[in-house]
Amino acid sequence: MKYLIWATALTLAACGNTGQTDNPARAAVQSVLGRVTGQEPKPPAMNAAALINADPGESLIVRIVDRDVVAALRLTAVNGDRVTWESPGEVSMTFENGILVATRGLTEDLMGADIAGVRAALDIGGGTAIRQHSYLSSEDQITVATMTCIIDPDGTEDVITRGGTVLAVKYTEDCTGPRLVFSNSYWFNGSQLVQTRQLVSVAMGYIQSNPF
Amino acid sequence: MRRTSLTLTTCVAALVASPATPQDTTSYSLYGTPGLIEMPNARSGKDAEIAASFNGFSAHQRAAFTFQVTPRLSGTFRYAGINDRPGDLFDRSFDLRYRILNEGTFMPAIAVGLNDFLGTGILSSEYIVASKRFGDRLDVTAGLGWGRLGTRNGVTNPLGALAPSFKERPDRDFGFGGEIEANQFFNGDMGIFGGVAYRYSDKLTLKAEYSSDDYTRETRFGSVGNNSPINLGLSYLYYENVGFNLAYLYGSELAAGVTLTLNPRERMMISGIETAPVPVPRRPTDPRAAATWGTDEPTLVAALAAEGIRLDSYDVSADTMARVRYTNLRYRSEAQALGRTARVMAANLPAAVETIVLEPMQNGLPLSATTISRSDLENFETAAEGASVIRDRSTTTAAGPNTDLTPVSTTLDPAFQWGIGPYATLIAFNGNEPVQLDVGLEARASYRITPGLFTQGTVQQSALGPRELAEVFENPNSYPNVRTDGDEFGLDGYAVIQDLTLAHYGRLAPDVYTRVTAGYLERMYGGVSTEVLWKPVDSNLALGAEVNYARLRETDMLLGFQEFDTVTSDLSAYYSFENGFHTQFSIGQYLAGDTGVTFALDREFENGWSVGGYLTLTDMPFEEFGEGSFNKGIRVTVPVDYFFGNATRREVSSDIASLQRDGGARLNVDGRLYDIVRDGHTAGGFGDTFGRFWR
Repeated sequence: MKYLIWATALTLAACGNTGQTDNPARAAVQSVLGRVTGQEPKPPAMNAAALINADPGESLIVRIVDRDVVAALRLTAVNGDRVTWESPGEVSMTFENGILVATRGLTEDLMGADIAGVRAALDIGGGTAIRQHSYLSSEDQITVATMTCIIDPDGTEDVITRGGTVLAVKYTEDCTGPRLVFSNSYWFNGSQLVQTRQLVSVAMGYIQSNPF
Repeated sequence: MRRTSLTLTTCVAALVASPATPQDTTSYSLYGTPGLIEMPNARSGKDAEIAASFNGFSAHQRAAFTFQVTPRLSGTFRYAGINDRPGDLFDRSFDLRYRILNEGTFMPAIAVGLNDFLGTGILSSEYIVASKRFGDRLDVTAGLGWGRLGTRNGVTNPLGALAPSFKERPDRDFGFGGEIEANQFFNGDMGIFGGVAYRYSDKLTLKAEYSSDDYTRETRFGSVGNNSPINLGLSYLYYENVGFNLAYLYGSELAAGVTLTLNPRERMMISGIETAPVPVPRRPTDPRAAATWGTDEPTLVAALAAEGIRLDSYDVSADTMARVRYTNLRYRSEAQALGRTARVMAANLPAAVETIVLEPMQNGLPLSATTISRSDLENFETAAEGASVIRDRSTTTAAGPNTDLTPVSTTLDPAFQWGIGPYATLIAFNGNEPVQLDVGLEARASYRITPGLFTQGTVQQSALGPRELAEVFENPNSYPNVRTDGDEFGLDGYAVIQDLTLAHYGRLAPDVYTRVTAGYLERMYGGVSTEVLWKPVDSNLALGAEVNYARLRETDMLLGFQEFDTVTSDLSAYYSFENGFHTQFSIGQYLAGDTGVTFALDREFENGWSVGGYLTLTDMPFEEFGEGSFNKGIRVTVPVDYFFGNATRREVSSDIASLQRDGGARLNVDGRLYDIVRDGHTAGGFGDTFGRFWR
C-alpha cells in the first residue's frame, strides 16, 4: 500500500506555478496522448465547420501532403509582398507573392528563401531561376541550399476555389541542387494564384495551399 | 473536400548529398568499442557518436560508454564485473584509440589503441590493427596485441630488438589505481589476432575472429571454458540506434549484449517544435497613423510574456531608439530569445522608433547589448541568409549602464515560484554497488526580491525509506573526510534540505561580474560562496576567482552544522577554442585543505551538448587519496530540447565516472557565473546559436 501511495504521488505530483511549457516530460506525454487520440499536437487538424466559418479572403487552407493534415491559417501580418498566416496551433507560414518563403513551428522549418527569380519567371510564363532555401542544422547553424529551377507551363486543370471550380493554368518548377531536388507546382486563374504545392523541407515534405 | 487537381504524387524531395550507407553504421564489440566480437578493429564511430553498451557472459559483464572525441580519436569508459577470483570484482577501465591512417583504395585503415591504461589494469592491452573492406560487405581485420591481447600463442616481442626491456611486461605496480602505467605499454609477448565481419544485410552483420586473449586468470578460476581461440558472433541493428550482440566465445560461452548509440550532432526535431514567433509587420508609411500608434507598458509586458520573455526594464525616452532589458525564461538559445524580443518590439513600438537595443539578462546580470535596425528586421525576416545578415548588420557589446532604465511596474512572471515533483538521483559507483537509484518527491520554491537578489530552496523526501550505509573500500587518511563521508548524508529516510540559499549577482564593471551565495549550499556543506568573473562579450578567454567558507552540515541534512569548517579558493582560466573544444584550468585550495590544480577538457556542441573530462592533482599523496589516486571524472551535459524539440532551458548534467574521495574536492555551488554569463555572449552560446535568431 505504501508503494502504491508513492507510485501515485510520483505520477501525479508535478505541480507548481512555474511555467508548464518548461516541462518536457509533460509535453512528451501530451504528444503521445495526441497521437493516441488521433490529435496530432502540431499542426492541428481542422474540422469542416471551421473551414466553412473561415472569413473569405482571410484564410489559407494548407494541407501537409505527406501527413494528410489540413489546417485553416489566419492572416496575422503583412510586410510588403510578404504575408504571414498562422494556424490555430501557432504554426506560421509566410508567402511572398504567393511563394512559400518561411515556416515556423514545424519539426524542420523552412527558415528563409530567396525566390525573386522564380516569381519573375512565373510572371513571364516560364524560364530558369536560382532559388535558395535556408534550414537550421542539428547544431543550430543556418545551412543554405541553392537550386537551379526550370519553370514551365504544364497544361490546365480544374481547381476548387471559394467561388467554385475554375480552370487553372498549371506551372511546374523543377529544382535541382547538390542538396535538394524537388518539384513545386502553381495553378493560375488569370493572374490569380489559386493553388500551390511547394516544398517545405525534407522532413516535412510538401504543402498544398489554397486561398479561401 | 473534392480534389480535382491533385494528380501529382511523384517527385518527393530527396536528400541527394548523403544517403546513409550501411558503412556509416559502426559495429560495436563486446567491449563497447568499435570492433569485431572481442577483438578491436581499425574502425571508428561517426564523429561525436556516443555508444552506451552492456554486454556480458560468464566471466565478464561490461557496461561501457564510448565517445568518438574527434573523427579519429575515441575514448571508452567501462565498468566491468570480472569473475577471475572468488567474490565479486568491479573494475573501472579507460581506453583510447586513434586511427593513424584512413582507408584508401589499396591501403587498409590502421588504428592504434590502449586498453585499460590506468590503474589496476585487469583488462589492459595495447594493439595496432588494420582493417580493409572488400566490396561493400566484407571487412577484414588483422592486428598485433600486447598485454591481454598477447597472451594466446604470444611470440617474443620483436620490439625487443629496439630495447631488451620490451621483451618482458613488468608487473603493474598500480598502487591505488588511477595512474598511467606507461612502462607496460607494448611490452611483453606479442599476439596476433584477426577476423572478418560480413554485412549480410543492412541490419545483420556476421562476425568471426581469432582471439589472442587467453583469458588466463578466468580460465584458471573456471569462469571460462576456453576450448577454442575462435569466436563467432552477430550484430543485429534492431533500430537505427539500437543494436544487439550475440556471440559464442572460446568454444564454451554464450555472450549477449545491447548497444545504444546517439549522436549529439544529429537531432530529430531539427528546428524544434515551439510555436511560431510574432511576425514583423511593415510600419505604416502614413505619418498620421504612426502618430496615433503608442505603446503602453502592460501591452509590451504581456506580448513578451507570451513568448516566454520577462521584461525587466526599458528606456523609451529617445524618439527613435528603444532599449530594453529582459530575461529569457524559455529558450536554450539567447539568440532565439533575442530574435523573439526584437520581433515583439517591432510589432509594438511607435513607428518612429528605428533603433532597438536589446539587453538579455540572467539572474539579474545584463549579459550583453545588441543594437538592431528595425528596418533590417522588416527586410530580412525570411531571407535565405537572414540570420547572417542580421548578425553582420547588428552590433553586440557589453550591456550599457543601469542609468535611464525604468523598471517595469508589473510583471507576469511571479516573484514567488514553487513546484512539487518527482526526483530521481542516480548514485553511480557507490562502493561495490555499480548503480543505486534514489527516487522521491521534491519541493522547490524561490522568491525574487530583485532580479539579481533571490532566495531559493529544495526539500526532498525519498520514497525508499532509510538506506543502509554502503560498504566502501576504506582508505583511512590523515585528511578530514570531506567527501568520503558523503554516503552518510540523508540516510535516515526523512525529508532533507537539499539546498536553501540567498544569492546576489552583480556587475562591477562592464565585463566583470560577481556572485555571493550564502546558506545551505549543497548536501554536505553550508556557508558563503563568493565569486568574481572577467569575461568580455567577444572574448574566448575568461578569468575567475572564487573564495568560499564552508562548514560541514549534520548528516540528517536539516539545519544543523558539525564542527568541521574550511576555506577553499581558486583562480580559474577558461578558454573556448573555435573547433568546439573548451578548456578550464584552475589552481587553488580544495575542501580538505589540499592545494593543487584542476584541468578540464570538454567538447562542446552548439546545440548545448557537452562531453568531457577533468582531473585534479593536489599535494595530497596518492596513498592518502586512496582508490583512484587522484580526483578525476567524465562528464556529460545534455540539453533537454534535443530530445523533445520543445523550447526549454533545462539541461541534465551528469558526472559519470567520478569517485568521491577527499582529495581535490570542490564545493558544489549552484549558479556559478561562467556558464550563466557566457550564454549571452557572442563568444559563447549567443554567438554559437545565432542561426536560431529567426526561429
